[in-house]
Amino acid sequence: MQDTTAECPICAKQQGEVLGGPIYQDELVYAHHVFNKEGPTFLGYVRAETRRHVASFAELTPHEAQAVGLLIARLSKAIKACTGADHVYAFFYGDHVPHLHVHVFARYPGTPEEYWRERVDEWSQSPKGGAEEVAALAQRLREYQAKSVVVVD
Amino acid sequence: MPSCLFCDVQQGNSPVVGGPVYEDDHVYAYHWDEEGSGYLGHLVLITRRHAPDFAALTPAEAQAVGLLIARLSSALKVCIGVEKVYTVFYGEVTPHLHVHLTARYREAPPEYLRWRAEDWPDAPRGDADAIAALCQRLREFLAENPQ
Repeated sequence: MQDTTAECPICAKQQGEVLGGPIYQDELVYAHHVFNKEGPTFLGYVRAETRRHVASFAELTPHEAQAVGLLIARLSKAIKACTGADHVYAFFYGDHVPHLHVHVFARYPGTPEEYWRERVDEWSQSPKGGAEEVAALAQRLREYQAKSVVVVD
Repeated sequence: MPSCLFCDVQQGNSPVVGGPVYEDDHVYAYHWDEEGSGYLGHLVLITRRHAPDFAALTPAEAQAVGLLIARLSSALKVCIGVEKVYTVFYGEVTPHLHVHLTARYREAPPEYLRWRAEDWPDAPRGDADAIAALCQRLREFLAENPQ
């Protein structure tokens, strides 16, 4: 298994620029806020990824798997603290890009049940923003991560 | 505290078919058949502690959850030869962290992706004995592949 591939958009993104910058990165994992170039972006939708180009959880080393678990928890906590979301989902499908990425995203108070799960962003009252708002939230999430550094045995 | 399904499972008050697939100080996993569909390859991973979601986990618990997702995914791929294992945390009903791992079979038609995987009419299904046999294979795989 290669560490990176030329064809993988996730590898390319991690080696290039992402709007708002990475929220967290170390030698095993990486996280950033998703930005929708086509229109308003739902605020509070981040992706947790491995650095290494691996397809799914089944191929992770134990250290990578632990790092992904810890990252999901830290991102969930940061999203709740920085956005006012009362719930945070975490989904892994891996149906399209074979580079492990977990969708970690907010659900806001008052979201009608028909908009739960994958449809949270379709609710007309869900918070959305442009490049400026996404970058500002990424900055808040990054700062929250930085001051809540955890020490693990 | 009101009764919690996932606390009950771990305390043996709500027996699960096949018994625990894995358990340690932080996490516990078993085969899910709450709706009685008999779909083979749907596991649920829960924390030992009654914590509602990922945000409430200690670092050690979060690491244990990540590691067990990987080990169970690997076990399902090897033991039943599935293409992939969907892994989702909804946490909408019972406020005790539980992650669903649902195997997707290679032969499943494209309309049965993701949360519809289990709706595939021709999906491998089994009774309590078949689920228990699968749990035994998964336990053996995990024991033979320690981390």
